[in-house]
Amino acid sequence: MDQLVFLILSIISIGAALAVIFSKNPVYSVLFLILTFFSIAGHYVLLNAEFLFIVHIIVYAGAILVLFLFVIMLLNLNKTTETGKSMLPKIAGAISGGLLLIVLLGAVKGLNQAEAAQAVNADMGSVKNLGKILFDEYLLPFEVSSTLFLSAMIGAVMLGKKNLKDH
Amino acid sequence: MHSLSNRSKVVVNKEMTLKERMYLPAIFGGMMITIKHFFKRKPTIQYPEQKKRVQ
Amino acid sequence: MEIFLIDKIVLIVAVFGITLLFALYSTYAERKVAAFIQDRLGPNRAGIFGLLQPLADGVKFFLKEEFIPKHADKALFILGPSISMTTALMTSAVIPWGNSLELFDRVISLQITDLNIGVLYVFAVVSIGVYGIMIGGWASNNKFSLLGALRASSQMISYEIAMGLSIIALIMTTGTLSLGEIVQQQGTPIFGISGASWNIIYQPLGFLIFLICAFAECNRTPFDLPESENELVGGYHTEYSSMKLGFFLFAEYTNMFISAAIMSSLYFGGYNFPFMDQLGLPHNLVTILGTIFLFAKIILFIFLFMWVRWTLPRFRYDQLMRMGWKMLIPLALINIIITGLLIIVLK
Repeated sequence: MDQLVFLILSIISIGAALAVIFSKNPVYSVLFLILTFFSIAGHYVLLNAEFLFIVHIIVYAGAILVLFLFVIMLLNLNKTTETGKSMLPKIAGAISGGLLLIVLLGAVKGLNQAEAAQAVNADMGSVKNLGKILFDEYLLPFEVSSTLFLSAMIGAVMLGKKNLKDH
Repeated sequence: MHSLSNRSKVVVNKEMTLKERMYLPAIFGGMMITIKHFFKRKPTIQYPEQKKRVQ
Repeated sequence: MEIFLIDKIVLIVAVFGITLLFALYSTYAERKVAAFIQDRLGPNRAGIFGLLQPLADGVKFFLKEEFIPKHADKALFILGPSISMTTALMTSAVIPWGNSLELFDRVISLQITDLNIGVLYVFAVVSIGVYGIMIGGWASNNKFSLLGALRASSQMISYEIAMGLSIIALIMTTGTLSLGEIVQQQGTPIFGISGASWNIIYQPLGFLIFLICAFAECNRTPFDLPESENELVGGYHTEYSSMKLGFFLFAEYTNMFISAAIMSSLYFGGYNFPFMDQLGLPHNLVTILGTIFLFAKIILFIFLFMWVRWTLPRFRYDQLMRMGWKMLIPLALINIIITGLLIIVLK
């Protein structure tokens, strides 16, 4: 059962990810990206990480991609407004993507399979456990990342302010 | 000019007080008015069934 | 296992049917409330008191001509209302519609599924609901539709933040994310009255913020800018006709019903009612009475939605954004801080 669900989800996520790249219309790309995120969220459920699943949906599908869609609809990009296609972004994208793939392969290769299978128990991804670990073992990284968010937020406000003064 | 309905209000462009800026009392007042109308008797005359004599 | 499945399927069908029935009759109630507030009688020709009016409207929607504009994106044009309707119905899965029934020697829970992240699930479904409107508005290939869709989505994501923050304060007091447990906790006695320790007592400010955000999320007046007919013709559903338009309108009423149910469960005790354990009634009867009380609360909230709609004028767009970002979000943050301080002091 789990195997079957995993297979279906994988096919959907890979197919949707390919469709993101190959669709001509940017709005379709974003919609396929949403589908990709949903199928990846489905993988989290299979791994018993419910909290991660729901947060993934709220943050990525519910907030970030709405903004993506928002901007694309507002710009109303279509074939006629598409700028000249240069090869440079494509090569850069291929190189960075390839590097990421190598890093991931290296990380997966070093993984001890028995240990990984043991780690997946029913309670692992629950909110309670996650909260305990975040505010106990990983308190410092957690707080550091929250200050990072705060500085990003202040930066966004400052950028908005500056634009107001110019006009 | 003298007001015809005796319900005219002179508009003042003063700063709103905190109570006014919260809007909630005004919203509540408005809702009280509408609920009063909700329970009022309706003056509708349902024509083909009910007929009112024209004087 | 099979019996369990049958229980759940019966429950799902019942909840689905009741939700649709409520949405159907909300359209009738809306027209009646509007009429009564404006000193009119409202629909009263189809059936007694006009009670068959919603059915007549439904038949009309089905029989009208299906029209898809020539330059619209056909697939997305159909996808939009479908997403709206689906997400509107999905939330009902985690709402506890009642306590448990003891029938045929087993205990049947009147909640379809008690996810331990129920509150977050509701939130996720609400945040996905934006897509229906956005996709529908964009696919119509019409400036008014696009503007309506953009307004709707920016309004909804702005008010989602304040809504989430007001729920965080509630979760701090309850200590759980499961809707079933949150409702159960509100059944504990307070001042010797059982079933009356409703969260509204602990979170009045949080409830007010949640209520305002619920109005905004449902695109109801005073926040119905996405479909403001005097500037945008009809907003995101300008180009829609027949049952696709019906789906958009139906989704709005379903959302209203669901958010009324969520507000009753989170802040007004759900199926709990005062003196529920002190009357000495059998368990099943208390459960049924509780469900009736829950629906009474829901109907009161739906009436509030309509009452406000026919009382208040619409906000201007900048007022809407200022209220969301500069008033509700700071207020919700202050509410979190006060709640946290009180929890520390009282412990």
